[in-house]
Amino acid sequence: MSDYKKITDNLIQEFRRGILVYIVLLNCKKSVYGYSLVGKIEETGIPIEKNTLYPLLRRLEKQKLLSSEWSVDESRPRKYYQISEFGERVLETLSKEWVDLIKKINLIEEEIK
Amino acid sequence: MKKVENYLTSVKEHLPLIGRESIVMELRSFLLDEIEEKFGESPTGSEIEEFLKVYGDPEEVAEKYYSERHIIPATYTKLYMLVVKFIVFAVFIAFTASFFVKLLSSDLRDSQIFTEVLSIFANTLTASISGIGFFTVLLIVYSKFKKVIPEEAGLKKVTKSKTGSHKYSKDHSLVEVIISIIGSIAILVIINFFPELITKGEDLFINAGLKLGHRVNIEFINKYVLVFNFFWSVSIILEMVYFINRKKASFKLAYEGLSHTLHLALGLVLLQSSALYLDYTGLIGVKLVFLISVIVNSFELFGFVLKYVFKRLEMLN
Repeated sequence: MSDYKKITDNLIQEFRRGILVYIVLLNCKKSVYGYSLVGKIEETGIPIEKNTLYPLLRRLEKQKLLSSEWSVDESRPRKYYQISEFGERVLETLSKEWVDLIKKINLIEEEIK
Repeated sequence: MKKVENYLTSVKEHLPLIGRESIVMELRSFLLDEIEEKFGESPTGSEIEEFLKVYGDPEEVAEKYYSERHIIPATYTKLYMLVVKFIVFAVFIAFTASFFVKLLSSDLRDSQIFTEVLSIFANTLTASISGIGFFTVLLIVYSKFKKVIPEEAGLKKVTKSKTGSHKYSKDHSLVEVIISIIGSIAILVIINFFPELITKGEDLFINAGLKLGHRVNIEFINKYVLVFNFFWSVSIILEMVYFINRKKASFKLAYEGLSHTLHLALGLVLLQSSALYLDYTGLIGVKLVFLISVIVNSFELFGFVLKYVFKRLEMLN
């Protein structure tokens, strides 16, 4: 692997890591289970490592950003996640920050053109 | 789906102690959902194996469940635990060896022996705490200066696979049980039909030029043979029932607790029965065997209690 590819791959991964929580919270507005969340995120064209996502769901639940419930109505128990009230407030702040950040980056790009 | 369960067991071994049951439950649900989605309701063994290989090495998967804020980074946890175990083991061996040297080189009385045995555990505890404390401080300082690179999301490559290769530690205890059953039957046969073999064994010991500190009172064995029969029969029955039900985890726990308690109790009784030993001048002889049995069973019982407490803590989470 060339240096260029290696470095860009690393930086892109860092980008994705940084916004992964934001992406997950956005996709948990409605109740979802682990694998369906993976599908939803991947449908948007963002590749995701499942073995990274599942521990993240647990951490977000611990931080009270997500609430969860085991469903036993299906063929096997399945854990459903949904954004909590606290998570909604955090997501709102993140969304504002994200929009603000994009605006600022656009400004920087326009300035250097 | 046995391969999935084996994989989960391997992951579980490396998970943080607190909350590992619920992590495994979640992971099981995630994995089965994905397998069904990819391969349908009846996946083949090789499909599952390939899927688990791609999902990741059990140890690496488990590491991702560790919280990022650690005094000692998760990457050092395995090394830390290994060194901790080594410290306790090495210290215990050192104090036990020192005890035996003292025992064979000086004329210790019964009460002194008991105090010395207790001091093995007390000294092991204090020396282990000091050793582990020193090592912990050393590792914390080392972690501060040596930056540990956090795992890059998605960049880790699967270098090896342990899928489906997990072997339960049951095999080890199974060998112990078989040896224990054979040993118990042999003891029953000797004390009931050939008690004179004990005296012959002692004679062989003396004829080899070694010194015995006492002889076994065969009359005493004959007098209490029913008590011994009861104990060894209970012991054999317990081991056989365990052998049949060895796949049940709860049964294994009950067996270990009962078996160690039973052996420790008998060892203590025999150690204290002065009528069992004739011409007593020292510990070397059958009494030494009972003493070793008491030490080993105390150690195993202590380990069992610790294991039980950890299991309860785990269940609470």
